[in-house]
Amino acid sequence: MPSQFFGLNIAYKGLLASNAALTTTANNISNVQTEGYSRQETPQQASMPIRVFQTYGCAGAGVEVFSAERIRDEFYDGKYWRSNTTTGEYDMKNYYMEQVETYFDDDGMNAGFKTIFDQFNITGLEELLKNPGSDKIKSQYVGSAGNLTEYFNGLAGNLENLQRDINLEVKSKVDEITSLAGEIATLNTQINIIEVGKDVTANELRDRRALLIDQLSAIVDVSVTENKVIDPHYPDRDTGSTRYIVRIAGGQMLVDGSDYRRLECKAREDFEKVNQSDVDGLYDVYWNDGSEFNIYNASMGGQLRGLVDMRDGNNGEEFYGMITATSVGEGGAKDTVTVEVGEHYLKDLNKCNLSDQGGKILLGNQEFYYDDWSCTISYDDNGEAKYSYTFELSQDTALNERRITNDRVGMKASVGHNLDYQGIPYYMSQMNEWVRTYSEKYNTILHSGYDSYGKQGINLFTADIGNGEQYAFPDGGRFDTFSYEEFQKNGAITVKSTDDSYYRMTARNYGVQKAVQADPSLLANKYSQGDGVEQSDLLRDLQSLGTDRKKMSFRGSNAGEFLQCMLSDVALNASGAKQFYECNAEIRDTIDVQRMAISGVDEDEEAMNLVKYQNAYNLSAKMIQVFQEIYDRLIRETGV
Amino acid sequence: MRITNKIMQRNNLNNINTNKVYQDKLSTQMSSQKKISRASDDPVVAIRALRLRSNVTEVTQYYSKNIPDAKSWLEVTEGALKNQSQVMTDMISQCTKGANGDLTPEDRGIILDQLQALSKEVYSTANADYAGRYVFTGYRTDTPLSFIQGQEKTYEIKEQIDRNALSGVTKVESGNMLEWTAANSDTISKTDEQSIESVDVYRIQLAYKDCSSEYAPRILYKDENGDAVGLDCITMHSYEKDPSPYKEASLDDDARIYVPETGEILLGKNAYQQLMAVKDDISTSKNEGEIQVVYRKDTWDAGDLRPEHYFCCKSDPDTEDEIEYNNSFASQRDAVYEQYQKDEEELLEHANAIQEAYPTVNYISATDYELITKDRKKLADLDEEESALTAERDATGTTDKRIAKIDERLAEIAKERDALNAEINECYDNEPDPDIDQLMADDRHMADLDSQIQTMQGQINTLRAEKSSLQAEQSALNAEYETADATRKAQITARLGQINSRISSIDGEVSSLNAQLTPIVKERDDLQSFNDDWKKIQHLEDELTFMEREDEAQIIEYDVGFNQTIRVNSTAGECFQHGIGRTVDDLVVALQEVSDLEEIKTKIKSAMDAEMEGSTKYKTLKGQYQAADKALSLAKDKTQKMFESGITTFQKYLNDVSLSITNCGNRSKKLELIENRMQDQKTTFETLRSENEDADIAETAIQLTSAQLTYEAALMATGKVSQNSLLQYI
Repeated sequence: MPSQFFGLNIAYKGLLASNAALTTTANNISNVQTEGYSRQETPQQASMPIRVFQTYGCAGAGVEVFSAERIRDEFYDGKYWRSNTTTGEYDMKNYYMEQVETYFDDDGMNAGFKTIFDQFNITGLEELLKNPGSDKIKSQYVGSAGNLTEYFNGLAGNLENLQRDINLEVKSKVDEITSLAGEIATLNTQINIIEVGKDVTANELRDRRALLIDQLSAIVDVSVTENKVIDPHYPDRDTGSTRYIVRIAGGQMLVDGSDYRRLECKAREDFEKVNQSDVDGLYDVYWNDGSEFNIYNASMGGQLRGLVDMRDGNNGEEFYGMITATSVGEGGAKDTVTVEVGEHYLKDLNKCNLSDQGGKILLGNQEFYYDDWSCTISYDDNGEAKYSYTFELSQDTALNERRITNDRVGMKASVGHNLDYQGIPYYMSQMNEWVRTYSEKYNTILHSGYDSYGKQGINLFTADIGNGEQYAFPDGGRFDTFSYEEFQKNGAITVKSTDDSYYRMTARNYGVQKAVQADPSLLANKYSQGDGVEQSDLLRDLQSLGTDRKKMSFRGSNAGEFLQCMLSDVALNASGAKQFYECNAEIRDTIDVQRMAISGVDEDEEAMNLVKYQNAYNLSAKMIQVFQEIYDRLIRETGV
Repeated sequence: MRITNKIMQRNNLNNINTNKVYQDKLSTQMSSQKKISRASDDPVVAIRALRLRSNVTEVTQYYSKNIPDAKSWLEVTEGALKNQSQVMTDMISQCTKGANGDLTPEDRGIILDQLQALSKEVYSTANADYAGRYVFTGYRTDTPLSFIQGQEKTYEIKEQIDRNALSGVTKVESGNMLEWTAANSDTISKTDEQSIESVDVYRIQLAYKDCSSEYAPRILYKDENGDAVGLDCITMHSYEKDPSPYKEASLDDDARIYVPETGEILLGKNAYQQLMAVKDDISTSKNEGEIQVVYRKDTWDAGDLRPEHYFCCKSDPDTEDEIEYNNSFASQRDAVYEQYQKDEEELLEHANAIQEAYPTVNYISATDYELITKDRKKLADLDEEESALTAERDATGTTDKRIAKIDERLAEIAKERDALNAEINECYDNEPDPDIDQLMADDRHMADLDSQIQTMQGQINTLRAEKSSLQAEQSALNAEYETADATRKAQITARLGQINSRISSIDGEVSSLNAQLTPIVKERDDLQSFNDDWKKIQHLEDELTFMEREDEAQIIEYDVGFNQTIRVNSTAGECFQHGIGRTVDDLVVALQEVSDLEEIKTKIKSAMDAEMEGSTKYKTLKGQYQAADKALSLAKDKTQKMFESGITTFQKYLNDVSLSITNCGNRSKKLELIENRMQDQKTTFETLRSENEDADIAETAIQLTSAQLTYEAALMATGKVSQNSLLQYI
């Protein structure tokens, strides 16, 4: 027979349980809009019954609440982080490609390349063809050439600014990673303090930690492991503490329990440039212990990946070749290394995007700094063209700790990284190629003719050196026209990076010869010196240079179709980025909804709980009242 | 699945956003009228739009700008040509009048004025311009076709002609008849009937009159071996009488006489036939250019056609600064020029070597040498004349008067000879300038060498003859020796000894003479080859000069469609030939001559009428009157014939003009067709462009309305869902 007061105790337990449920409900309701909050439940169970020696055997001992549980399925967390990483990458690409697209846009009103080139090559030239002797019309034509060069200057300037912006964002994202890592490490400590030794869960702190990982996963790919800490003396004992490890960028340790690593950005020096077109001070990222954080790691994801792809994407066209010769400079001469190349984009100096201010070259597995380079074309005995680049290595011992050795011959050499995305360096390089090839061919035609004064034609397109001076480009210097016969006659040709070759012309410094701007009569229009002013045979060749694929081919199209080529890249990349972003964002949101479906607080449910637990509470309270009445009866009125 | 309020809120918000994005897209389409707002919306449309817009730009350029410009140009040309046609018709009617035999002096005066006025009109028409650009001047639209003002500027002109340009011309040799006045009627010579005659010669009529008399033209052609041949001309002036250039040309079969004033090269019969034998070169335009004449002209009158529009020419030929060749044979010329330079170098090297080898030899310049040769010929002529005169003088029956005349002439000859000799000596003494003139070895030295060689060879020959006679004697003596007796044998032996010693001394002399002779012969040969070099270089220069020739027609074409051009200009060569002016010049000169002779004749008549019939004076005057009459009738005859041929000539020019007008008209017609087609194409491309990139407003409007409905529905649904919760019911 149980205690006479047993029932009162049971009612009291019910009261406690309902109270706990009600406070949990209150907590859920107040956190209904809290980001990352997981709803909690207070699971109840009937207390151990008490054996009473009665006919009915055991008596129920009421209810007990054993924990406040967080309702969360961590399987969805992992899924969410992965898809958030992909979404982050395409979010960045989408955002920046949209800007690139705006720069390249040409809708007829907002004048882009095609409109400007048509004004130059159709409207301007047709008028000039009708009246080649008129200075006024030549002046208009030269003016439209100015528009063309300014278009490229502007475009290149915009892309440079964009590259700068992206670079700054790389820094802020890297800083954000470090700051998130710090917070996570702090939370790890707090969680362990709460959880150690006791069978409790730090619900809110864990929610906050998961939220931080949510944020981190947008920036960079993460993988998280949480292991229980085992007491080696009593392996079976549950110590309650855990070791929480966060890895990023393909498995590089970021947080390990209460420790975390910092990332730092270091701006590149002038002599560390990778691409000719790169703006100054692009960031490389290092761990605080000095080791390099490889941002070109193929398994890296997230916004950082998107930013790096946009900033440095070269369509997989990095400088790459085989070392064929090395020489150790004597008597103050520099060490040199000669690299033979086979890639199509390295066989044409007009496509070259190697830095002209020196940079880093990977020879075998060792990085060297080079000051200068030159490019040589020769032919072997079978009449096959051979292209090689010779790099002059820096003598600064702070940069090159050791000198080149002969055993590197036969090893691979590369400059920059293979980044198979069409980022800003790719567009810059495409523009440079067009600008150089078109200008060179255009100028060569002008050179072979005569101007209004009967003097030999001079360059129209040139490049600004700065301080008001312009390059004077000679004819030729282009490798695809250097034939075997010429080689046999004159030997190999070598162009140094510092020579006045068209390599030095870029979309950024593209310009119109000032002399021709000042006096348009200097524009050649005829091939024969003695012909009259109306002769326009040369102008016709200039016109067909823009329209005839045989005269100038840019990626298999004619010169005037430059924008079609570029726009198809840009538009496809932009729409690709947009579609990937939308698609991934949808997947991410779906996963998030699934997560919310489990962990989210539902108002109706909580209202129902409120009613439910209030009723239970009321009932328990009623129970106590009933027992009170029973005791009243029993003690005061029964047998007294 | 468990749905929380937050999920519902989020889904609803997402849906509302999707609807808004769609609405935004549609309203942007409505307001911009474009299907896409950025290329990534639809890359295919965006890229196609670029091409189509480019096409529209191009067609618009053709249709709205190039075709109207071409049209105006053609209109200006057509107007000028019609005017030209009228002028030609008028010329023909003037010629028809002139061909009438019975013309009064007044008639002639009128015709003369009319012709001159018309001739001026021709060239002012030719200066027609379109917006400040001269339309008939090929590529040189900045230069008028003719000189606007008279000008002093030396041009070296290379006129390219063919055999058809060689023609016969009749010239009335009127002696001094035109200088007759009442005062000089007694003393004036060459006014008798014998000295009046009509001379027929062949000529090349150059494009210009009043050419430079400083520079003798050179005629170039290719012989049957394809080598360039250059012929020099002798300059004679039109005012020269006794003989006049025409007379000279009719007498000398090889004559090539350049008359700068009238711009003619008169040809003797042989010279004419030589040029007529030049073959047609079908590779040249209009089969012309087989014969080239290089000449210069320094002074230009207003209205003279500028030569650069017609001929390959250099202004300022003595400096290389201002070269105005128009040359379509540049590559061929370069090859020849290269060869020329190489050959010239070799020849010069050779010449230098010789010059170094013979430092004592006197050298004279080639021009001096030419002068000397000419003077020598003149001297020979003088000698011949002198001997004829002397013979006549010494012959019996020569009148005293005649002897006096002969003496007078002999004295003159002596003077002339002195002058010529002085000139020759001066030439020899001139210090030659090797930079300007090719050097020639002194021919006197050559003659000296020749005579030395001759003397020595004579000596050698004598010695050789002696030797052979001695050898004959020797063999005879040898034969005799067998049969001879002892004394004879001794004699023979002695004689043979003499002979042998003589023969060996002869051999010695001969070999010493030969040793002397060899260097002289070598020098002679070397100097000869040295002199030949100059001719070779001259030949090379001819080759080179021949290569440089007039350009092909300078056609200006406008782009009027895709890969379609139309020629807008007519060149002066097609309708404004030099021949028009030159024919008028000829006619004017002939008419003037007739008028002048008529006047003289009238004057003589009146002078004659004043004299007593039968007086000496009267007789002289009568003779002169008859001479004048003869001259006049010859001149009239000639003039009438010239007018008759003038009709044909101008008819030919009229045909040329009509052809040009027809061509021009055809082009206008073609242009109209192209214009229509371009209009169609423009519409087509604009439609295509619009279909590609422009939004369909009706469709978009309907879509927008339905999008708005959807949006409202979404708002309503969200509103309803988020309003209620269970709390409201408990």
